[in-house]
Amino acid sequence: MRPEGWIFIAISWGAILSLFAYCMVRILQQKNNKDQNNNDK
Amino acid sequence: MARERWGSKLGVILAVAGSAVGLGNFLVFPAQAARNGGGAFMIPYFVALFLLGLPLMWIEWTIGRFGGGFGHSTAPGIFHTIWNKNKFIKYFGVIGIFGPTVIFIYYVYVESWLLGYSFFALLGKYKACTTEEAMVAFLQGYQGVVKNDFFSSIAPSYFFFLVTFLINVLVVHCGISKGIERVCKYGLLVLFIFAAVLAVRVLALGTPDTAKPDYNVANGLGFLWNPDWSALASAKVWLAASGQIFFTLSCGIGVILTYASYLTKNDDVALSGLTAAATNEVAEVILGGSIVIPAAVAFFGPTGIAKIAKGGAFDLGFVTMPLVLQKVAFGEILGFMWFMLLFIAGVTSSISLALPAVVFLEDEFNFSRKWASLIFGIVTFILCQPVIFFLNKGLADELHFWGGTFCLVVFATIETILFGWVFGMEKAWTEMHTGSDITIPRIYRFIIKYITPAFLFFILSFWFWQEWTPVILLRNVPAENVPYLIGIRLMLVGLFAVLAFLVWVVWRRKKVRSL
Repeated sequence: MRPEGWIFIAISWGAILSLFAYCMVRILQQKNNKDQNNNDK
Repeated sequence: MARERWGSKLGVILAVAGSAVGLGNFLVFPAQAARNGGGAFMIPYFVALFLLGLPLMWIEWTIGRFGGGFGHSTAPGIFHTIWNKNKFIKYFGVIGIFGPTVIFIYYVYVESWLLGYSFFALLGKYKACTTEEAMVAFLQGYQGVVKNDFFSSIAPSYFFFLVTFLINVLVVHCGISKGIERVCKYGLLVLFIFAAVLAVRVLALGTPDTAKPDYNVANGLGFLWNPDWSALASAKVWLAASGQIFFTLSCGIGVILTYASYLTKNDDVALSGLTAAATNEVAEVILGGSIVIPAAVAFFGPTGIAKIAKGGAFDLGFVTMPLVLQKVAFGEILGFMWFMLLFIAGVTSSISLALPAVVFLEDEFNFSRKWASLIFGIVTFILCQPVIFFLNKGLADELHFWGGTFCLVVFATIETILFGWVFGMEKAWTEMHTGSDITIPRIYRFIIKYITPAFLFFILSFWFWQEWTPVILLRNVPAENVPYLIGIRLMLVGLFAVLAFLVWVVWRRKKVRSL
């Protein structure tokens, strides 16, 4: 594989994994907030 | 009766992701990328994801939830709710039931091959096939296309079809949270584990035969990722990338719309849509791109893979991969994992395809879930028969064209215009952000209103003139297949007419009741 190939794989995987991680963190944060609110009630 | 709801937010996201993650993620994407510029393919691919895929995701989630608030789970009712002054828009919505049903008819049969092959892998039934020709003969024997030493009748294939068909109808019968949500939650978990194990195993192959140093995994990744910059100047590459994004996200079929209709008014759609898309991309680009092509190059070399990639996605899945996995340790188990992961990907997609027709009968005709599933099961079981018994006449390809390509683009264009122009961008934007856990960048107001429809019109017109005209006019089809293809087209016209008639009956009854 040429260096440009490695660059493309790194950018593509990085972009997708970052997006996925961002979404998961936000979902889990929201879930924790909702659980916290329910417990407070 | 209280409207059914999803059990959890993660459940609905995984259900939509399950619908999106299908055979295409593991078979079609690597072949498309390899054929269309390698790493350079990812530039139009990402452009299409942000300008076409994500807007369509958000549109379907939003109008689905909106329609669900009025008791509608399928496109005819939802479209009518958005544009109730137009008498005909509900008939355009018929595409949202017709399209998924048509795809279901052939998809469930293909899915059943995967179930069969996962058992064959464990039992070592295709172990004697050591060449590509033998593996093709095995597949054709199993499909009943020819009688050979491997299979003397279509009975084994039909048995696995029956099992697969029953699984699909039963899951839909069990409902949204107890059936679809549960299957997608556990199914996707197993799918990701199997795919990750296979990807790690493939990436660890290195250079399996030291006598052939070019046959290695790094060259396999290179085949997929080394950029061919000249490809970016080709309109065909841009269209291939747009098409791939379109099909991989399950947008424009009408199933996301139906899933989202079971959300409550204040459930988030923006983050959920984005997460479902991101989950699908992990399965496609990271896992899908790390299994088939690198494995095939490691065993068949850079010249062999070029021929294999041209052979199409099915050859990669049913011919190349079994041959490759036979050559590594624990090949039976890895073969089982490969076909089982594809089978799970198939099931999580096909149950979503079955749902619009079933809930249409439930919502609009007040059938119970049990009766609606039974009616759907009987009708589609009958419609599956021509595909099974006349497979070699090209019927599955014909159904794929109408249900999986033509209807998809037409339906997506209609819903985008309805959303951005009829519903109105102001109202649409507010609706998208109701209960939202994220704020969508404001640039998407412009993208959804102008860029996405323009993109869709471009795809629609280009495909129509360049690729669809020969298919529609049955050019390049062997003369002996033409009567079968005309027959299947008449069947499709009949199915569409029946669905349109049912929609007419529903609204006539509503009109009579309101008088």
